[in-house]
Order: sequence, then C-alpha cells, then structure tokens
Amino acid sequence: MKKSIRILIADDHAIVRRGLKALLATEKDMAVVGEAENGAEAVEKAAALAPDVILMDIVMPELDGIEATRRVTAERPETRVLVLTSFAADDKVFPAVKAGALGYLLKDSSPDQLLEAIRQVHRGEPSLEPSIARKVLQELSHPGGGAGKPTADPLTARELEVLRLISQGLSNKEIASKIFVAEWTVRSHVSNILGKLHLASRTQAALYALKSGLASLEDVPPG
Amino acid sequence: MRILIADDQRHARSGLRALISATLPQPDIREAADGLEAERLCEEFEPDLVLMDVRMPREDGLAATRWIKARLPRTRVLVLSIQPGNRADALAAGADGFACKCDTPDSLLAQLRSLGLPVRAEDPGL
Repeated sequence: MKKSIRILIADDHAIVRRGLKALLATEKDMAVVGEAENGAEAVEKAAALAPDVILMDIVMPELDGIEATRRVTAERPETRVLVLTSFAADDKVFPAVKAGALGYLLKDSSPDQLLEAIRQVHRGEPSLEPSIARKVLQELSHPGGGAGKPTADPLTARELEVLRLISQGLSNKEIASKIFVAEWTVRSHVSNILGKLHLASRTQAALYALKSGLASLEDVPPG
Repeated sequence: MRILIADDQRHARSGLRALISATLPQPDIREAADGLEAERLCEEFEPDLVLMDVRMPREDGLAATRWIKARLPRTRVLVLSIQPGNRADALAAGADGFACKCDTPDSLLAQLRSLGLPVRAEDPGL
C-alpha cells in the first residue's frame, strides 16, 4: 500500500488550519500529522514528527515562516516546505525560495491547485503559482532586475556602512582598514548586501547606494 | 439556519464552514469572496448570520456590514479580522459582534452563542 504524504500545517489562524485539514481529509494519499500555530512550533514539530511536507504560512508570531523554513530545511532537507500565503510580493517570495521553500502558493489558490502542489513538492519538484514563477524567472534572466526593491531582510547598520564605502570606490581591503575588521568579514558583508538587494556586482551596489540616497556623488572620489 | 460566510481566503471559508457544520443545527451555508458578492447574496438569501472578513477585494467587510445592517437589520453580522484593532470600526459599522481570526474556535463559538445562536458543543473527535 502506498504511503500517505505526511503533512504538517503551520498557520497562526486556527480557522485556516481547520479549512486545510478538511480539504486534506478528503485525499486518500495525504495525512495531516500535526499543526503548528507559529514558526517556532513548526520547527519543533518538524523535528518531532518528521513530516514529508509542511504547509507554511509566512506571517506568524514568535518566528516567521521564512526563518522557520530556513531552520527546517537546514536540519532536515528531506522535509519539503510549501509556502502558503496571502502575499505575492517580491519581499516575501525571494526570501522564501532562498530559505529553501520548494513551493510557493497563494492562499486563494483552488483546492485542486493546492493538492497538486503538495504532490509536486513531495516528489521533489518545485511548485510555484504562475505569477510567482514569472517573477522568479524574470529575476533569474535579469539578475538585479529587481534591484533595490524592499526586502523582508533589511540591511544592518554595518552593511549600510559597507555599502556607502563601496559607493566611494573603496576595495574590500580599504574598507576593512577603515572600519577595523578583517578583509574576509568585509567580503561576507558584501555578499550579504548583494543577496539581500538581489544585485549582481559591486558596481550595481554602488549605483543602488547613489540611487537610494545612501551616498551622494560628492562622496565619490574623482577618478 | 441560513449562514453566509464572506472571506476572500478560500481556506478560511472552508474552515468556517467545517466549524459551523459541526456546531449549528442543519445550517444552510453560502459563501462570498468579497463584499459586493456578500451584499448580493444577502439580498437573495437573507441569512440569519453573516461571518464577515474585513479585508476583501472590491468592497471591504466594514462597508458591506454597513450596507447589510441598513437593509436587513435582523441579519446578525459577526466581523472577523486578523487585526484586533478593527473591533471599534466593526461595531461602529453596525456589526453585532467581533472576533479576531487568531482566536480559538471555542472563542468564536462563544461569540455566536452570545448572539443567541443555538451553538452545540463541538464533537472533540472532529
């Protein structure tokens, strides 16, 4: 007999969890093994129950769904995460995908779409709502095309400082000397900055800093 | 009992339908995905109770509540929202009650009882 897909539902709204349970109860190849009402509980229950698939809401108290996804997929990569959310915004989609979510579906998707998405991610195949898939493809084909859009993961104060220094044309070594850290630390900051802003190069980062007012042309030394 | 569930989230509507089916006697349930559809169905269906989400496309739940209470004063409207802060606005719009979506189902059932609905205890096996 084929094993059921074991599913954990993580959503802070009891009514939504109930609705999902009612839907999944109609499917012979699916079994809800647990529920979580916040991201921290999702991580705990994922470790305890070892579900095949987690239906993960994003906006939850204690720990959001993106961080919960990151922790779950780091600890147990065989658990697939299908994000189920009201948000189609870039600042949720890309962090969710980067955190390891294999699927991303909006909450107003049809029952059939949801059931198919669960089966797809269980097989290890990505499942993205068509409008989400377009955004991701656009980002892949034009890296940095989404540059500058607000992210769910804002730059830290140190990252902002490094970004300003990049826009002044300083090398990693010069930045490290200026802010009294090791050069590898600066490389790490630069990597985080490019990742958070969906940028592909220092040049794009410098332009972003100028465009967003973090730096001005007066700061740029004469070439 | 005629019940209208108005929420743009399909799974929220399913959850409310499951809860109502388990706790109210022989409910006749209809669903609306936005405020305008809720108003249209209220005119046709004249529900005893509307479970009304606030944030919906085309017309929000507060505007729909005002519309419904002006035309169907005997229809009870329980506004549901993820923002507890919407309570005052919901009551000002004429809602008969307010519940936060993060409340437990028991808490929601208590609200329905306070509106005079014949809510029975939920079967713990469900």
